[in-house]
Amino acid sequence: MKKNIILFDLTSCEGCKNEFLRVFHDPTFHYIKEYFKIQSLNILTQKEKSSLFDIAFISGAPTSEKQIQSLKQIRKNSKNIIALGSCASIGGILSMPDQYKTEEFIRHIYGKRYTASFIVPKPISSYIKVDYNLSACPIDSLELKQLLTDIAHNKPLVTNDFSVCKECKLRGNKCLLLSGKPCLGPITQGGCKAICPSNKVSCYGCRGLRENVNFKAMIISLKKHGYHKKDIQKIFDLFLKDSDEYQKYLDGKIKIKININI
Amino acid sequence: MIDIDLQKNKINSNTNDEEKIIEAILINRPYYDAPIITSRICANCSISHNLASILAIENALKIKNDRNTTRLREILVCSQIVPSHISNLYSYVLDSKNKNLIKGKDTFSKKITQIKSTFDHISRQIAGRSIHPLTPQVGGFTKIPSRPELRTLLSKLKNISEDIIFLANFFSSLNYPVLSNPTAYLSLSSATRYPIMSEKIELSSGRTFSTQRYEHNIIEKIRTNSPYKYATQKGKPFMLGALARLSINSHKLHPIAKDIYKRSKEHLGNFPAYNSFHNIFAKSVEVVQYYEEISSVLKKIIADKNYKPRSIQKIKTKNSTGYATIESSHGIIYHSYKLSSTGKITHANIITPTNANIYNFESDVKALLKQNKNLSQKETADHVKLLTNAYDLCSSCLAH
Repeated sequence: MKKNIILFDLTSCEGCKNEFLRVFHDPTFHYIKEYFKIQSLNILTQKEKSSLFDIAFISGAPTSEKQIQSLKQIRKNSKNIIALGSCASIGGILSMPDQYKTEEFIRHIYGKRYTASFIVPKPISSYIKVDYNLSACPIDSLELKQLLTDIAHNKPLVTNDFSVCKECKLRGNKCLLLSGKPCLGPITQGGCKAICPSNKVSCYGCRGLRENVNFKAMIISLKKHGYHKKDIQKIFDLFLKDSDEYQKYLDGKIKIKININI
Repeated sequence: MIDIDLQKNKINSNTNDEEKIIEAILINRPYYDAPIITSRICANCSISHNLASILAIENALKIKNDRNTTRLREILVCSQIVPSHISNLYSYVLDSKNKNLIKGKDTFSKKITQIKSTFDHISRQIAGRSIHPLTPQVGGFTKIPSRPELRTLLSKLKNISEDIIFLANFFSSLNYPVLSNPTAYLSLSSATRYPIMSEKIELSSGRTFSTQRYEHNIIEKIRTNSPYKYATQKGKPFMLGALARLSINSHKLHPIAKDIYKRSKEHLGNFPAYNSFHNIFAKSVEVVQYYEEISSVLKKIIADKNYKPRSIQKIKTKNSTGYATIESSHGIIYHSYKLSSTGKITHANIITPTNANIYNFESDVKALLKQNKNLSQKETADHVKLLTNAYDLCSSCLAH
């Protein structure tokens, strides 16, 4: 029997949603339709509120109370929740602003008369239990095909046990961190084939931190290359603002001491 | 998704998209973050937003690039427009329940997949990735394709030329519902070339103004019950995108596109006829135009002895303001930034084409209802749905 899937898109650039639909309707991947039937939405009607789903793929991040309520409704109605993309998994670009500055921001863009419903989003796991995260910005079609194939064949979903550095080395890339660039590859979840460093762009951690990562060593590395705390904040703020390790570092719970021998 | 509430002639378009406050997120970020952040406004237009950020910052810091950097950027813009147009054309024709399309759906679907994957490959080869580009930077490219790789791109394009022309001929021969709603068309303007990137904007009236004067000419209005801004020109709605570009620049088309345009516009009667359904006709001509443009620019780069990898230029930051306009599948994207002496963004303003088109769309829906009073309620709803499709409003850009 086909698995009943919903693809629910919160506030986003629609990149992950479009990639999902493109993969699902790819003529070379047509056999996947034997396993799934799918609906794609960004608001819940009465019909969805009373339906049951085997899997809900959530992309984007919740920026309003209304979207948070939709998330909770979907959790109630779904056996499994998969967070698709950086926004849903780790907050992404949208979670950059500080909440206390949000009203100032809204006034800046819309003027005083506008009442906004904007809440700085957190990863969806802050609001509901999530069964699997596929964090990337944007998601990669091959990785998605692998995920859908594994689900179709009831295989357990695993998280890659390596950092971006492994794939970077396999591709024969020159190490950006060693040449002084702020590359977060050593602490970022692998699986992207090191696409950014392979194009000479530092990894900014869009796939989220690896488990049990040596965060302190990363900070020491960056500091040794001349990056001060404010620079480091700018680097991590892009995608990793909500990660526990980064928050501990900001709160001063990770002590860094460097001895530089000249 | 566009949700339209038609009650007593009051149009209230709502995409259910919530604001992303990107212009606020940019404040106090270093200038080099702008292309990374703004490409995430919208996946469909990510290349145009990314390049608009880069161009605006280069404008502020007075950075000049070599001609091949500009050429590669132009190819990127075109390589994003064509697949976006093709997807829109296909879904429009499906919605119009065109018998020929439904009969040959599998063939169309195969051709479209092949075409989209070719252009996706072109974007990836140059930008590293087709959504949220990697290699374009302020001051150059981190990496560029080799000459053999560019030759491969050219040959991949040749392989799909027959299919592109076939599709363009099919999509440009459709009939459209009645609608006539005069409006101002705006597009970027170059002396001899069909619009891609430029610092000049031209109106259908013939008036022109510079990118630097965009905010003096295009005023954004806010509605208290909506997260979107509505762009106006002299207080009125106006239109951007394929129909606007073609209406103003048809004499600058490449040969095959010009041939399709001249042959196909006969059945439209008058052109431009201020019928926004003709946006579909314009897109089908542009599919060939931008395909020819990419071929032409690729050939120029391949033949250029000076094409070689260069390091990104050293950037000197200063207190400055910069502006840029670039075309996307939906129309002109405008970015402006104020930078501090250390290169931090202190102010950002972004106007997307859908900020204009949604307002013009509302005006068109009113006109459509007035001019088609003899239709049943279902027929009216179908017409409005088709018009939504013809516009292809980008809700992600709208709610930036």
